Amino acid sequence: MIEFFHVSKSYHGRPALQDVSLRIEKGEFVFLTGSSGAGKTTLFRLIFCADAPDEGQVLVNSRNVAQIKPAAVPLLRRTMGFVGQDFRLLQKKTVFENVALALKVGGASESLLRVKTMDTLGAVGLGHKMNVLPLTLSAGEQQRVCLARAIVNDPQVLLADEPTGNLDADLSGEILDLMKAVNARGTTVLLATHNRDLWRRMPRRVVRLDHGRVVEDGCPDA
Amino acid sequence: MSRRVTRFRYLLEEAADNITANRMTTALAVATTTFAMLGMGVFLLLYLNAQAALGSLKDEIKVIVYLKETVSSKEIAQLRSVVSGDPAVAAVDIVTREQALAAFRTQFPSEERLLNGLGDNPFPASLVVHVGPAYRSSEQVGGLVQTLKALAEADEVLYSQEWIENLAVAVRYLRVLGLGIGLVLAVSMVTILANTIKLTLYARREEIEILKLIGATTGFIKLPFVIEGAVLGGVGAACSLALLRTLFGLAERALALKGTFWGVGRGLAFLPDRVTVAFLVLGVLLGCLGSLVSLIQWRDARR
Repeated sequence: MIEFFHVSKSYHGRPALQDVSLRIEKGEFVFLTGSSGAGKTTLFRLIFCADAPDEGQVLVNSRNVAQIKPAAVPLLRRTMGFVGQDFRLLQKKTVFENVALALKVGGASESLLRVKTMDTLGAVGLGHKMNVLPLTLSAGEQQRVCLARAIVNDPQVLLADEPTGNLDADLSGEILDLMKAVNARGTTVLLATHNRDLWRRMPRRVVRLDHGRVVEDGCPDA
Repeated sequence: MSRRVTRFRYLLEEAADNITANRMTTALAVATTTFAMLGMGVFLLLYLNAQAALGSLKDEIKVIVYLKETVSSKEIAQLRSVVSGDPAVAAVDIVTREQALAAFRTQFPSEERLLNGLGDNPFPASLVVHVGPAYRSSEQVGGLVQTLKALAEADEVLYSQEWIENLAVAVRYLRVLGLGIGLVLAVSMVTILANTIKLTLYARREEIEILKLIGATTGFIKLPFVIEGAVLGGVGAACSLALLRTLFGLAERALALKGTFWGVGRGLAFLPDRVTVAFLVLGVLLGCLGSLVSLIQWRDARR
């Protein structure tokens, strides 16, 4: 569960989030939307412990992120997966190595690492490309590798910041379907996008941000 | 166990990647480290040899009493008994005129002509007085010399104490100089290695961000860079040792320093095994220090 209580955050005097209160239940699929600079990425950074709020509290799985000691931050991050717009893959490592890295940092054994990585790559439809380098893949495939890396640890929360920003409509649909499958396994998914087609295609709760404030929260079809 | 192996292998692979990714920078870092450590090695070698020579000379402090020509063999034997009675004296050897001549001919066979015109045997008889271990301070040896000079049979008294003390002072200066220069070289080496690691950190900043994103601990992210520094330092130290050994061999041959040196019954010696190992460890530690400096200076977001 993710909770924001009257959270505000500024960067160099410019407010990025203003008095945001939000509650996302375990297993929920939420679209986070708003124009550029609305505060979507800041919201993710706070959940991810990349920043601390100036005011208010952010609770992730009942833990106040502002009070987490720096040494415990990596442990919290291992309970989350992150997918961004830019794929952020290690270009000198193979697809398999990129995905397995998320397990390596957690200290998984060699055998577990192999089995889980292959299973996850199979789930995103890239089992046959595990030995190639990311640069040889299409944009959609690279994003699927990112998704595989984000979910290989069975995270409790999946944060996706404009994951379809560089993809066409068909590939966006593929990524959305994969996220739906991840959500069906019980993972809370928070997907930031300004692509209306996505939430029209999959009616779920939509939280709209504008100038750092929550201006809309609900399911469009409700 | 398997987890640790996986992790350890990853850290080594990453360190190897770091080293091979920027070959030119790595080569420059190793070369600079090699020369910095070579400088330290040269001073260490000089210091250790001077120290060993000093120790050896101190063990053999002796006073030579050249006797007047008129002193008979019987008187020499009596004189030996008298001198041996002094508590500062450990032993007294008699060198007769014949023995002195024979020694000269053995040591300087090509200088035989110097003896022409000087009569049958120009060398005086002498007493070689060995100073006891407990009486080797300047004052004590000085007191003994005065006693010996006062002997009616003594013509001239020579002793090695003064120049041994001068040598001891020189060795102390050498140690201070060596430590100073060693410190400067060590700081230079750490700075250069720190800059090398900083370049690697900069080149891999994207990767570091990704590792943070997927929950890698600080140790997991930073250890490959520490290993890289250790390897660069260790390789630099090994190369400098190889170079030092080569230069030492060349110097030994060129100067023909084998055999005795400064009257010491041993030639120059290379660094002992334990010092060699310590030297390698020093290289590794300085490399680690260089990495740590760069990692501390790496102004990356804390989280």
